[in-house]
Amino acid sequence: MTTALEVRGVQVRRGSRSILEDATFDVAPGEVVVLMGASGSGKTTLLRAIAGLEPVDQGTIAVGDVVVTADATLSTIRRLRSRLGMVFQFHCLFEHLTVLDNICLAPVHVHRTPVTDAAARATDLLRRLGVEHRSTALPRELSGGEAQRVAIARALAVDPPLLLMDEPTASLDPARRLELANVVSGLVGRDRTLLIATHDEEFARAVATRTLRVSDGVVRASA
Amino acid sequence: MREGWRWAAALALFLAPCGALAQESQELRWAGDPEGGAPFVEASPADPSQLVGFDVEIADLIARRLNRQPRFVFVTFTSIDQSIARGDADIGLSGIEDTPARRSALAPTVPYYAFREVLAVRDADAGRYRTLADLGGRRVGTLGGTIAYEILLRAERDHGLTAVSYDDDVHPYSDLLLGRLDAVLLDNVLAERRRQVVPGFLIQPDSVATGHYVGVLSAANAPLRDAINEILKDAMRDGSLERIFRKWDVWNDDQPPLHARVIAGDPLPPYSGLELTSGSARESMGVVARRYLPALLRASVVTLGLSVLAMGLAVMLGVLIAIGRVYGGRILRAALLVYVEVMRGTPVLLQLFVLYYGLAAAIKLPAFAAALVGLALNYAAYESEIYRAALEAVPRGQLEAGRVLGFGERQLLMLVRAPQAFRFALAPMTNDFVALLKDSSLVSVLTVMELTKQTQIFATNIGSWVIPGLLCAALYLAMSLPIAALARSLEQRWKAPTA
Repeated sequence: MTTALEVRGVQVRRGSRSILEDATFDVAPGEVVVLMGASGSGKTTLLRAIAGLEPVDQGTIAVGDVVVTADATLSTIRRLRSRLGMVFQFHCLFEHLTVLDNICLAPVHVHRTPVTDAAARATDLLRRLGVEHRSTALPRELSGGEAQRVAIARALAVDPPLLLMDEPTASLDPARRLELANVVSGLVGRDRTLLIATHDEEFARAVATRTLRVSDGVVRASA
Repeated sequence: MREGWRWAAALALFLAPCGALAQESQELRWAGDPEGGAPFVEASPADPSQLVGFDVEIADLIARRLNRQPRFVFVTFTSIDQSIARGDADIGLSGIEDTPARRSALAPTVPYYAFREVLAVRDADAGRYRTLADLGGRRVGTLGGTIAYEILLRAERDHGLTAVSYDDDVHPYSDLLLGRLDAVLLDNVLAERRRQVVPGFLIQPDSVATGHYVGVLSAANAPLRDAINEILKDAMRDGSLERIFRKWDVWNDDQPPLHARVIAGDPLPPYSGLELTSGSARESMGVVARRYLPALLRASVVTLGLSVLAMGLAVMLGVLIAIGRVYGGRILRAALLVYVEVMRGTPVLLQLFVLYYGLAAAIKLPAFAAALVGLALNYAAYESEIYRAALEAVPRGQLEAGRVLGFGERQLLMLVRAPQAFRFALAPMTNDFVALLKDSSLVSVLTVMELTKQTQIFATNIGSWVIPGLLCAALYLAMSLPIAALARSLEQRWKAPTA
């Protein structure tokens, strides 16, 4: 396997409006690729299409050995999702569950990990991300930075090879952005690839091994 | 000039009610209930805008001899006493029985018709059920708040039968023929009239008790009552009443002795052939209240049990409907929408009637079951809308996060959506439960003896709503306040996320 992610000629339309015109790029294992672009350029739509949350009208998306096309079945999309994780711009934590339960929910109910093992791994992730002390808090009790880290821990709890992050610095002040850059850099390894959508140039410079520009729905390698 | 205009306006305002009063005094407002009211009061089959019946003709006769215009005021049969007491009409005439309670609380006229309480049974049971003593363990129906109902309550204790109270005098006979009842105890006028319309039952020859019909006026209207008494006596003397009763085919051998005694001024007991204690003028309100309290408590248990069961069923159905509307295909969604709109857009009373009486030929549900199903089906529609809105209020982002984490839709519903939706739905659900507790009073039309119906009977028998009303309100509050407190505590504990 030479690529962690392969995107070929992806088009996404909403009605008559074209959101993604032509997205074609590869991401190699262990890379941190940053998608840069102005608001509305199509970055988020691209991440959502890769996560199977946005139907593609044309093109293919391959994560590992799973290839998704415009006519992909739900079962194919679920196989694709089993190979990736996503951190949403607004965190999207489960509001009725504590931090620990948010992180353990998918390992226990999707991957059938024993509860004690899932809790141990969740606690370890929280410790590595510096929010272990918030494990019993509810999402509404967290600060923006804490919620962001918990969302990362939740995505990493199922150990996905590909992690998608949508505007991770959007709700953070400059000091927290720097902290997050360090956290993100610490996540990268041979077995983990990151694709991050942001318009934060400073953050991108701090974490990216490669930058792609998204403009008017077209993805190009950065100059 | 302006000052003078103001005085004129004030004088006009002051005099206006006097004018209205003068206008009213030219009328004799008489109250009755045309529902199933033949031969007393009913809408004419030939012209439903016209009322016919012997009570209509007696009202006309009284009004004519008072030089007034008769004006009919529609009042539900069981509310006539209260309506008269508060001045909605001058006199109530609708086959109203002479009772001790009426004599103490109102100003009844002299009796103008003698009736017998008779037992009606299906033709096949003619030999089995001759008297109330033969009906141990059986269901016997009658009109609530009547002497017959009091007789049945006594027979419950003495013979072990079950008294079933109805709001009208038509459905007891249809339920007798459907097998929901084993006998009906009502007066001979009603029984004979129903037998002419609906075959299949007979009237046992021995009467259970005898009583009289009277007109009722408010206690403050005693002078008018006295004038009406003279008119009735004159009508007995000159044969006018006999002509009316003969016209309606209800003249019989019981009437001449009654008329003779009324004309002679003999004192007449309200009824004979039975010894009833309820509503006696000699008993204090407190004693009567204590006597009725156990019945009110039993009725409260029925109300609470019915409400809890109906709500439980409504919640289950409501959840299924809401899930169908959120996750179902187009046809299922459309069908469920039709169900919700039909159930919400038509009165629950109508639905109860259709379920119990309308479908009786196909499904013969017992009264409690019909009440339970009727309330549950109606409230399920309201509940489903609450749950649908609550499910849709869970942020889409959380569902998408769950999908990316690998959850299927069912898991998402059970683990993410439903727990949060339940918290959103808790407050409106509590409101609905309290509303259901009160709406359960409607099932009295299906003969279920719940709290409001028992209170109504209590009030009718003692001739006052003050103590029954206060007791009834206290019992409803005792049931609803703990539920509201529990819901508030749960809401606080599971406080929904703010943003």
